Amino acid sequence: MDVEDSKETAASTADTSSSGVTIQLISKEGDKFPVPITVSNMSELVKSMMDDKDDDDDDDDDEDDDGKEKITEIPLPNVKSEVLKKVIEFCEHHLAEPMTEIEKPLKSQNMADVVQKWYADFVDLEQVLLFELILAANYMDIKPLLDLTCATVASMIKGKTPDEIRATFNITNDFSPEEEAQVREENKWCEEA
Amino acid sequence: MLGRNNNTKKRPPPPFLPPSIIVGDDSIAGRTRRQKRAIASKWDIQTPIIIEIINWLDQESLMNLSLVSRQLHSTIANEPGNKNKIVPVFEVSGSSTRRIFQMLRNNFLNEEIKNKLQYYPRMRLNNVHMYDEIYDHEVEQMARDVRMDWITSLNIYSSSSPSSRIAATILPSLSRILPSLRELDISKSGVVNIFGISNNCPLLEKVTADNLVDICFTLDGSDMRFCNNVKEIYMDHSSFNHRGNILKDKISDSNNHHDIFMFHYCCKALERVSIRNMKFRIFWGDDNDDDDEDFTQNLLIKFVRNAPPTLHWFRSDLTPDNITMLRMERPGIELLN
Repeated sequence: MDVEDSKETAASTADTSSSGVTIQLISKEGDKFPVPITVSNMSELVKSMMDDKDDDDDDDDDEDDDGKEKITEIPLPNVKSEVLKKVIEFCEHHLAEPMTEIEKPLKSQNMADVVQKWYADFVDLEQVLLFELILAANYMDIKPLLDLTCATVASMIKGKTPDEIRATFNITNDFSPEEEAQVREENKWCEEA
Repeated sequence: MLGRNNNTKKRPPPPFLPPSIIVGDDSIAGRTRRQKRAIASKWDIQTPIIIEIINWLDQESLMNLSLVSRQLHSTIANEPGNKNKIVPVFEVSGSSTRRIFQMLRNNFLNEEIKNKLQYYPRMRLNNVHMYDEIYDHEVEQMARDVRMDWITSLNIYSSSSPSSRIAATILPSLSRILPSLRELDISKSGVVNIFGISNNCPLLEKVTADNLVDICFTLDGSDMRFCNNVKEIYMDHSSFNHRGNILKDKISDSNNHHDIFMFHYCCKALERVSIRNMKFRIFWGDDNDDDDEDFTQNLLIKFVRNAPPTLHWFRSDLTPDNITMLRMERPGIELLN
């Protein structure tokens, strides 16, 4: 995993940030990802932790005793570096090109039909990573990312039969035939005239 | 964040972070490959996340998902946090319009069947293109005394265009027996005439008529003038049947006819409107092909300026410059193109 690339990207964004304040997000593995506060603030969790820190440090200013800019570290022990890198990539892009609202219910199986191409490409991932991104978005409380990733899983369900959904997500059918028939009947009354 | 109170300001500062409420000991960073595969395969993820995924699904997908496993069925049906419930559907297929209306009549008149049917508030008509033609007076005869007032949603589906007569008459005929209709979806159905809806279905709240050619719908909304609670209109990629310029000119005129604008007859409760790539279909007569004409920017601007305060979402072909201008005037409306 190329943490350095992400660090460079994040650092370059930090340089252009109007606030100039940099936050170090620390992954489960201990990798540090410097990001501008505008990026990290997309996470309600980080934002709230920063508020807490501000309350604790309200007597301090933004510089340490040496006059250097103070860098706040936020540990995210539940997020792997690989996932955190993707989260940061999303947040950085979202600041440059906000994601359009995805319509509910989802209108298409193709994410490119419902959201900008960059975002559709962004979630073109192997399933395990996609689910990890959902968990990270939920944990870090980043609503647009949670929307995008959950909508992507929904797009993998849309238009598929129950058998196809089971195959896609490797889910075992634990219904008896009678139970399945009953659920079908609950859902739908068919009349042929 | 799902399952967490957003208003909670104070959290223990790092490094004393609360344990993950998402996956407990099986935190995403610490999982083995096998554990990760198991999570994806069994959907052994927190119920609020499954609900979040469910929230994006349409009814058909929801029904299919409920048939996948007991866990998913139970989450969809019983989980209190899930707002996207399955609305049971009464699905009608066939080719004889006469037999279909007769069947509806017989079901209504049979108390036992009627009681069971009341569990199904959504009605779906399949393959309308296969329906044969029927005289209005026959429908009238069969629809007399029939009021399926438990049906609140109607979806008409067709894989190809129905005959022009069916396209024009099926909805007016059905609307007579569905007085409590709240939602109507005729997208891609080829059904273009919504005449009768206003008188017969005054409770209508949502109309979806995407991808239709030549909808017989007056752009001032007069075809829904008695539907006082229309909240959502979706007519993307469709064309209005249009024979004459007078109304079109008035609706687009920013300087005059201030009380005449798009949907003004049915706009009192409007909340969401989408008319992306909506066109006028100009009828030239038998010897000429019909033409599609774009909506003018003036028409769209006039609508936004006059839209009721309830409107908070409008998607159209407004240019970016006009969107920027209108955002200043109506900041409460999310404008998209």
